[in-house]
Amino acid sequence: MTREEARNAILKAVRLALKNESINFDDNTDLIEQGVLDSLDGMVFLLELSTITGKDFPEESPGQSLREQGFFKVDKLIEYLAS
Amino acid sequence: MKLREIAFAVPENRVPNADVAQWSGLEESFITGRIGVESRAFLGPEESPSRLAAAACESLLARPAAPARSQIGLLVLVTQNPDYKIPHSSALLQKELSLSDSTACFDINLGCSGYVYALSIVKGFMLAEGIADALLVTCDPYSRIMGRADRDTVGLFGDAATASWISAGQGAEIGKLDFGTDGQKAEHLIVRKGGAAQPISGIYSCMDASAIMEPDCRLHMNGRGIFNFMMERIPGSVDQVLRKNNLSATDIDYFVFHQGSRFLLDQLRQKLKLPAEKVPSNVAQHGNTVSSSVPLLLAELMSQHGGLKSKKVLVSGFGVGLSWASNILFF
Repeated sequence: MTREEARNAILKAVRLALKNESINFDDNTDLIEQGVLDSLDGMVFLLELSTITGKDFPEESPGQSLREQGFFKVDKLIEYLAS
Repeated sequence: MKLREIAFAVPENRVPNADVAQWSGLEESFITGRIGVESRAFLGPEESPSRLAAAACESLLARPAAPARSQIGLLVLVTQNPDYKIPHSSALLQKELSLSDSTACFDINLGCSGYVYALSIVKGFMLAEGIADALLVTCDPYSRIMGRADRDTVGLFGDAATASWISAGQGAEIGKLDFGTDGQKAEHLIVRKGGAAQPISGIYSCMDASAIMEPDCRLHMNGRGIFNFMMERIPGSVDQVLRKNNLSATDIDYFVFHQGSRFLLDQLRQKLKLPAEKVPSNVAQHGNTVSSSVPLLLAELMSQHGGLKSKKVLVSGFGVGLSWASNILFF
């Protein structure tokens, strides 16, 4: 998956999670910290993103949540998906 | 064997969202608006699970059509938070209710899928042993295992008990069950200490909001793991149970799902493309009451104007294990 394909997949997953086709953000956005998604939307987003890309995300453990690992930062997500 | 009547009991100790917000730091608007719980009841410090379960049973047995206590041949309690590790709480309940010595009593160690599983277990035991009347009881007070500061769980759960009368006479027919387990995901909803693998060595209390609770003694929940499990497994279980009972989704009047949270119910309903009026909920009033959530909602629907007469109701419970079970009730 290219970086552009990853970026588009993230945008599509956010729009599906929020049921909002007009939402936009840039690569520097932290989707949770900046209030694009709340913690519940975040679960839907990751499921949608996993379905779109076929890529799984790591299991969470205490002190190592995906949020704490930066998985809601768009640039980190692009890097993860494109790797 | 048929589901005849359901009664319930909730503790008097109501817990408002303001208290939960203070303990956990969650926003009240998030608890009400996103989790969907407006308030819940917790057992008081002096109350026991078996006493709450007994209150639900007494409410049922006080009804005009209820069977005499001497007629109850089977008492089954679904719980993972019994009064004691030993003995089984159904024995305490038998004494509390003054049931006959010949009553078969046992606990079923299941969580949110427990009631739906137990309907089939009770039905099978009654058929095998020729029992005409049974009590199926649920009571799983998570208030006793939740850390008050744990943002993952404290806004979700509430305490309740239900008592269902299963009878060889009239009532809602219990259909064919769909069920399953994904033990690989057991860690997603777990209390690690307190069993024989990791006995508790000290004293802890989750009822005191200021007390420091040893982390492994309290409930841990991986919300994303539970959400993914529900979205992957439950639509398939709904399809399977419809197929097993030769029905389609349009034949069903109500889909009574485990009341995990309003968020989970909304996501499941949207995935199954079900109309909102067919997916009732009482999570706002009670929170997630674990194995009591399905029968509690059934009891409320049965008591409403018109009740559930002639209705087909799909029931589905899912959670701890991770485990699921779905069935159809033909009222």
